Amino acid sequence: MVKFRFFSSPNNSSPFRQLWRLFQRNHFALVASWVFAFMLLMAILGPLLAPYSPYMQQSDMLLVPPSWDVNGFIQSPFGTDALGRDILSRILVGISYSFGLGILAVILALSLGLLIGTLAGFSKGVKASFLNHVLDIALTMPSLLIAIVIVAILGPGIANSFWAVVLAMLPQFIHHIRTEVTDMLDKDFVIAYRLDGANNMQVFRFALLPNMIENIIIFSTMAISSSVLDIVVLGFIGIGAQSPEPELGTMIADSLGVFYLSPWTVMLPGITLFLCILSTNIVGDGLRHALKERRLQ
Amino acid sequence: MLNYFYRKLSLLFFITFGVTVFVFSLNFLFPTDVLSNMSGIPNIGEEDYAALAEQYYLNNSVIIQYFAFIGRIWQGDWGVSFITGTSIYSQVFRVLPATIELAIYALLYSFIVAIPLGILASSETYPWLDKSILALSIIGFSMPIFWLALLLILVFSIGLGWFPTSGRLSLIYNIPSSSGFLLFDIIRSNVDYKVEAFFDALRHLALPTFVLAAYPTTVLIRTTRQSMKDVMNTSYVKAAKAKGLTSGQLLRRHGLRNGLLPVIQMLGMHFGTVITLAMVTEVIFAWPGVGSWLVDAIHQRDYPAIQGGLLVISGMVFIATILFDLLYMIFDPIARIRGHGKI
Repeated sequence: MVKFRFFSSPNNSSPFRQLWRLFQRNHFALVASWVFAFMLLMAILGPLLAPYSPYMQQSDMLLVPPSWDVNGFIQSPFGTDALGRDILSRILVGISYSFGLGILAVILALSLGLLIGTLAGFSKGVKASFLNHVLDIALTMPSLLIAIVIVAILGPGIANSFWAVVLAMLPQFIHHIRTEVTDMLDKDFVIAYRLDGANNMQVFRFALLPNMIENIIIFSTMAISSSVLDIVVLGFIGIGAQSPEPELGTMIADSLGVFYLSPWTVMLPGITLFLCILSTNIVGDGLRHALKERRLQ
Repeated sequence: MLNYFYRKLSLLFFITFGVTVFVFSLNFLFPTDVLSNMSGIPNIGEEDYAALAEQYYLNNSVIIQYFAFIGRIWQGDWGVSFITGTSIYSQVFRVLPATIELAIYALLYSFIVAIPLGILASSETYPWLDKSILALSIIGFSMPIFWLALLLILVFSIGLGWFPTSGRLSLIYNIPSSSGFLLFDIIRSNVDYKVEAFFDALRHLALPTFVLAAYPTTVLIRTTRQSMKDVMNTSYVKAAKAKGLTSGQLLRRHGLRNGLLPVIQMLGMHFGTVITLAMVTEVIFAWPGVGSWLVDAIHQRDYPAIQGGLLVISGMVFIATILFDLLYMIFDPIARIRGHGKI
């Protein structure tokens, strides 16, 4: 490596800004972050932008192809499904169901996990080892299986599948945050901070949280893709969101009967879903790489 | 070594305890009556109730009920289904082999495909290969499994007509079931259409295996790539390179032996996910395994069946995790020393 650089200027920007600059160098990740932001916007604004109600059935417009097809109409750009419902409206509302609820689930699981994981990280002895064993069991179970179990107890429905996904992700978050906290409590800067007289609350607020936050953000980004997938799969196998609701997985399952006749009823929700998950994964990957690079500097 | 086995055994004991307590508590968590959940009889009349409660120790404390429950599990009395009224134990173990078969073939397939690709991606001579393999793997990772299945059905079954869309075997072949693993059953049977039936079973297997393998393949590619990169940067590999070993020798003697260890660990960690994805795959391809059976049970609110299915699936996941862990330990001596309190 070249030690001597001609145009080097001292880098005094904040860690987050450095991270963002490194992240921007990866163009794929940058584009994916735009797609991610667009989908997030749609998840919030989608229900307002939808031209029709997602439940409205037009009996004179059954299985109309998308507007770029010769037989398509411009008043329903993505065509209609077997009951004459406008697919664009359903997808717009569906993004806020599948993607929006997935993100909400991650935020909720993150806050609960931060609380329980930090408390667990501070505790020692029998309590900690009991929690270890329980977490070991919960972590071996894949999150989708836990979600299926919880839905089996609570009964089908979009609200229940949301809670199921939150509870199913919780062990991962607790485990992740607990290991971070226990690792960091042994570090010199935390001990020095304690010797200055900081109590547990202050240690958490000023020493632990600023050092954990980046890892937590990256972990949560990866968790978003799995939570969206879980919600959608539950909807698809028919134990999540129920039939008239415009959840993307449920929409695909509903249109299976007319799949061969009119593929767009399955393809368009599928592509939307794929874009949501792909952009999330690429953003998470890019953030992780950027963080690795910044630590090397 | 002995200490290690002891630790794993105690972990197995703890896990068994946890799972059985959980499944037992489902009796009380499900919305229907406790006695109905335990016995599998939907509407119990008043005259039978006292006798049945006596039989299931319902008047005693919860701890005695739990041990009675363990005893029934051990004897194979898992109750009867609300819907069909047949024994759940026999139903579960009739459909279980289909799932195991599918999962094992998918894991084998992903092992065969992912490891060469991962090694190729780890080599620094062809950066474009690395980039394209990684891009492919992230696409495969992000593809919702049911959507991938539908795309493949549309192209290969409907469009090209190469593979059937659902089921395990065409209905015109009648194979007596002995072990439940279809390919073995066909080989062991003595019907005169053996070869045709075998190839028909393979054609039915192709699409579900590919769909199910998509997730483990992408995970394995990334793991192999990373660990081969790490191994090739160690000083012992550099020393071997300096001695003048060819890259093939390097790979065979040092690279694979050390680079594939994390892959075994990864396989164990993701076995549970593969089983869950197998359940989804079964629903799409109408594969008669434990997954589609469990989803049917959830649809029909058949609570005793849900309990049995969960017990079997979680038990299978735990046993497989511990087996993979033992395998990892056999290959990696360092793992025997550390590794307290982890699975």
